[in-house]
Amino acid sequence: MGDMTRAEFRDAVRFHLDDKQSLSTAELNRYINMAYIHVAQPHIYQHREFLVETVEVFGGTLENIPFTETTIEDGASFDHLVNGASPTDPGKFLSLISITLIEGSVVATFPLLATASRKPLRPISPWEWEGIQIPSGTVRPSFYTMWDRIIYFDTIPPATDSCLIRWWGEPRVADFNDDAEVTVLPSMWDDTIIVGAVWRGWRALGEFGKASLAKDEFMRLIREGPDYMGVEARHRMARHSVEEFGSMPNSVGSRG
Amino acid sequence: MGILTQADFRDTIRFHLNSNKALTVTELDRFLNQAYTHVCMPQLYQHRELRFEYLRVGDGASNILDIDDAQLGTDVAKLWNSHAQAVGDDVPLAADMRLLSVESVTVLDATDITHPVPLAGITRYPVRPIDHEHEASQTHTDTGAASVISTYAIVGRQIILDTVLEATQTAWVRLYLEPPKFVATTTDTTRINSYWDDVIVCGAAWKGSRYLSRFQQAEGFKQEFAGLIRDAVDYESLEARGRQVRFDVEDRSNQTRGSR
Repeated sequence: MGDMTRAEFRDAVRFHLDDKQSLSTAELNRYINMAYIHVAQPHIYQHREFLVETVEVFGGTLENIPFTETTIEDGASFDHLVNGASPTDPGKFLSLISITLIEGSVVATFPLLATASRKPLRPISPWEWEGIQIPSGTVRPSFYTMWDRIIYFDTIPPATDSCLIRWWGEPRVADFNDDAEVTVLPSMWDDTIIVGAVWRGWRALGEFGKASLAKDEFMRLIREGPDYMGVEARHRMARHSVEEFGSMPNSVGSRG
Repeated sequence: MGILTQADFRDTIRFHLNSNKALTVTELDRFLNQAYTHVCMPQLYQHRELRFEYLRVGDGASNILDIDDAQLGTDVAKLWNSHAQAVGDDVPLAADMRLLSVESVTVLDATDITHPVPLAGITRYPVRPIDHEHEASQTHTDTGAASVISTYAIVGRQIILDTVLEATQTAWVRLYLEPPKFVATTTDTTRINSYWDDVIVCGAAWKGSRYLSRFQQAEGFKQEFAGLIRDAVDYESLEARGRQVRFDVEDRSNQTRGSR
């Protein structure tokens, strides 16, 4: 989580805005929240902290799952996992990452059965899905798509199966509503949020030249943000390269 | 849904307009609604939250589906959106019924259908969109048989099918409807994602500055508004990139397996 509280953010943002006293507390809070929401968007940066896992048992009667505000964000129907914890309110849904079928295991809550057979389902577009005839009776699905907030499969999954849904969320804590609150993001993002709020502040004050410079700085900080998943991917690539090198003739791996 | 309430929007829009005390609440709400309506246009951004499905059972006599406000108002129970109402609740808000655009039309060989549409065992036919010039050259028929509808055209507020929709069939239309505007409930928020709060503020400030004849300021806000819309990547594009990555991984994996 971040280091700076909302009150500290406000002080810093006001100072960046030439200490303008015409800016009310409520106005500054809005700029801070807008910047926080901006950096939380998965197309801006895929934060670990906003990755949510949801597990759901199929009913054996429908080829769709309502993945709605009622069922997801109020935690009414599903069990969720965010950063290893099971919140009752996992946050706002933004975008799907993947759906995996858990075969022959009725898993309604975390932790998932380690030995369950899994099958990743392929996402298709709503238009591709419209050409598929859904058979009567239950069959394990292969594809899914989403329209509105309903996930549609290409078959009715058996009631003995479950699914693991991974998605990007925007936790409700993004709505800073307490002066003592900090962000859920690593502290390096505090600086980015300040600059994002300053951009909005200058814009509100009609100083579009300064706003543009602040926006450029905001976008640069995002581009230069440490992409931990990218670092891990590079580690994977490097390790695979080493393993492949190891299996080559005359290499260490081929000895013996 | 968004985070800023109507009261928050009014405050911040007024501040963006140099804290102009002469602006009335009605004027501020007008700028707010103009900007909100603007960002909801599907050609700018296809918001998940504004996607509806609409069911219309055929009458065996007509190939035309009216989708004007009056018809959608009459068929209110046949409209559905998970953001507008809970699952199983078939009554959207009265103000939800202004059509923005039609996404797709599918014909189902069934009539007793509820939302979200269950499709197992139901034969369905995706219908291909054509433009109204092509439609004008068609001769419409009534074959009395299901499954022969193959094209539709949008002409004004009508969907014109190439043959009659039989009484045993239902047209399942996916469409975008305009969200309800802000009226007098100051705690209302937008229906769309909170990222758009910021965009709407810029849009309202652009429209307000123009109204006050501050054209240079208006241009600044307009550029900010357009820039934020350009920067918004829709989540389906993100998901599509995920699809691509996964297919690449699976393809590579299959190649590796095959070469062993």
